[in-house]
Amino acid sequence: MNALTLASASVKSRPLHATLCVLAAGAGIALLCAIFLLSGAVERSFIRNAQGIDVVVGAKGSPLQLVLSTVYAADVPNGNIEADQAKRIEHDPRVAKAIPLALGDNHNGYRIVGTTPDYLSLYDASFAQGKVFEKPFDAVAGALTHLKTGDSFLGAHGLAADSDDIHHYHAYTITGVLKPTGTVLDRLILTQVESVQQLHAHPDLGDPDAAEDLKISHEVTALLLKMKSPLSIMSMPRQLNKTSNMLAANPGYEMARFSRSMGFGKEVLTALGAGFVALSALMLLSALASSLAARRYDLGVLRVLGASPFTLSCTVIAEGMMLSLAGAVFGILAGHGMAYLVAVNIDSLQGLVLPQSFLHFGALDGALLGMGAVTGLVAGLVPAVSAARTDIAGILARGRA
Amino acid sequence: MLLSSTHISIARRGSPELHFPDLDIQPGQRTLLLGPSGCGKTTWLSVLAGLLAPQGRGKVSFEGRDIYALSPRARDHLRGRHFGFVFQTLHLLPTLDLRSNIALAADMAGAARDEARIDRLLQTLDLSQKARRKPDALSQGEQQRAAIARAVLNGPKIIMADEPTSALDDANAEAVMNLLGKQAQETGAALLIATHDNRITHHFENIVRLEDPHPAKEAA
Repeated sequence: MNALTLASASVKSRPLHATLCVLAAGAGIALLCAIFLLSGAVERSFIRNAQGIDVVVGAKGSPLQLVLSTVYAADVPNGNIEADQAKRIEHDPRVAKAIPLALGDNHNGYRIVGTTPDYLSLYDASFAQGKVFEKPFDAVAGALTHLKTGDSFLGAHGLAADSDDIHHYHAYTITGVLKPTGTVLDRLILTQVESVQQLHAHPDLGDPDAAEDLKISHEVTALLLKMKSPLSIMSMPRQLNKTSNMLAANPGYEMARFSRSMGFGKEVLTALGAGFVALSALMLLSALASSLAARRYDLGVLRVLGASPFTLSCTVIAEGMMLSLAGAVFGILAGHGMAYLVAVNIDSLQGLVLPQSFLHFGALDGALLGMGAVTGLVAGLVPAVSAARTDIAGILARGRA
Repeated sequence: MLLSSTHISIARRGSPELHFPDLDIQPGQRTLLLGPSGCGKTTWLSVLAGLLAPQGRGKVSFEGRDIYALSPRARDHLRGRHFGFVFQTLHLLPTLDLRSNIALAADMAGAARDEARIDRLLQTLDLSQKARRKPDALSQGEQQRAAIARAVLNGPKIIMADEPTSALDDANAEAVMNLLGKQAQETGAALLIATHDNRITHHFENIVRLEDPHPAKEAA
């Protein structure tokens, strides 16, 4: 029997007390775990969604709105640009690759994006079934769109799921369905740019938006550009913003700005989680101290039987660490569960993060486990010193309370 | 000489200074420290067991070695290996079962756990059926026997007991004394008992009487 088994016996003998300590220690760690998992996943998603895109060119307006609407499908676009203007940019010698995006319609809230197969390669997408679009009105469905190969549907004008402005001119047919990527691609329906343009070139009879539709038929919403040199990543947006009626934005810069403004919320939640952990350490300290007071005679008996003061300290610290580590394990499991539930239930996170990724453990969990161990060590330190200094003769003389 | 003490005095906070007579205990000898409650019997046992250093010239020797000249770790080790203890109110650890409580004596002393010896002790003391029970599921007599088993497990050279019979009726007090005496005899251990219980004096060849340190106060 050693300090560990004595501590274990002590913990087992007070299940309610132990459970409360574990829950208290676990609460803060669960919160921290969920915050770090979600914010890390969102940050990684920001980077992953924008990978391979140096510059986004679209209509004048807010650069953040342009990036959010085209790269993250998370906002309405500023407007459209002329297809001729887009062609000129595509042929600019500084541009390595240009991917057009034509937005404006949806199916059940999933955006229909007119683009080229190059768009798929941005996300290393692969097919779960079927193949890429080859002609107008072929469409490729993202993993979360609930569509399957062979499905046929009519597009609805606008980006809102409840739009009743249906384009009856031509139906789309799904030719392929993508595997999940954990990116915005999972929530999109991709087709050729020509599909979107042809649909808007043939407005329904009596459609009040007919004029707007005809205009769209000669436009694209944006261009995603991969530049040939780092210098042109800086120079081209500057030039376009100064000399054209278009807006060029750098997704990395805009998202860094966006993250900074969102960072405050994360900091508040992190401070809250850290506060919980500190509070749980104090609760643990208090619980260990009161447990020590109740067990002082038992510790005295151990000393009489030959245990050193160090052994008594180790027993108390082992008890603290056992409780806090159990709390950390509970907190980590709960944190992963919380992150998973949040990712599954909050629509805006779907396609941004893969909920299943929260069911795997990683370095963060090791760090949180370490934090749990340190919390137990710190909480146990004062009672441990007190245990080592136990006045055995005085206790034996007074007898058990 | 197994254990001897000379010039022992102790001043505890809030209590008058206690002076104890010199004491010599031979191997296997039965010694009784007899005195009224509050006279310092437990304190003296603590001093003799290496748990409370005496003041000034006070010295406690075990087999010729001054135990307070030893390092604290060596003193703990000596106590664990060569001293057996039975406490006034039994003091089995409530979190451990009876067998683990007995095994504690070996574990805390850093000695190898002799499971066969534990089995024999459990059988001898009629505790085999209760070995996996927690102390609160045992009768007081069973707890007393378990405490004695723990005290003799390591084959100590001296068994110290603090008021082992004061809470018992005559028959049980006699049974406990017989058990302690038998176990001490079997292991060759000296027996040192501190008590105010006059009923057990006939078990001892060496009786040291302690005076009440508060006579004036009590008389008042």
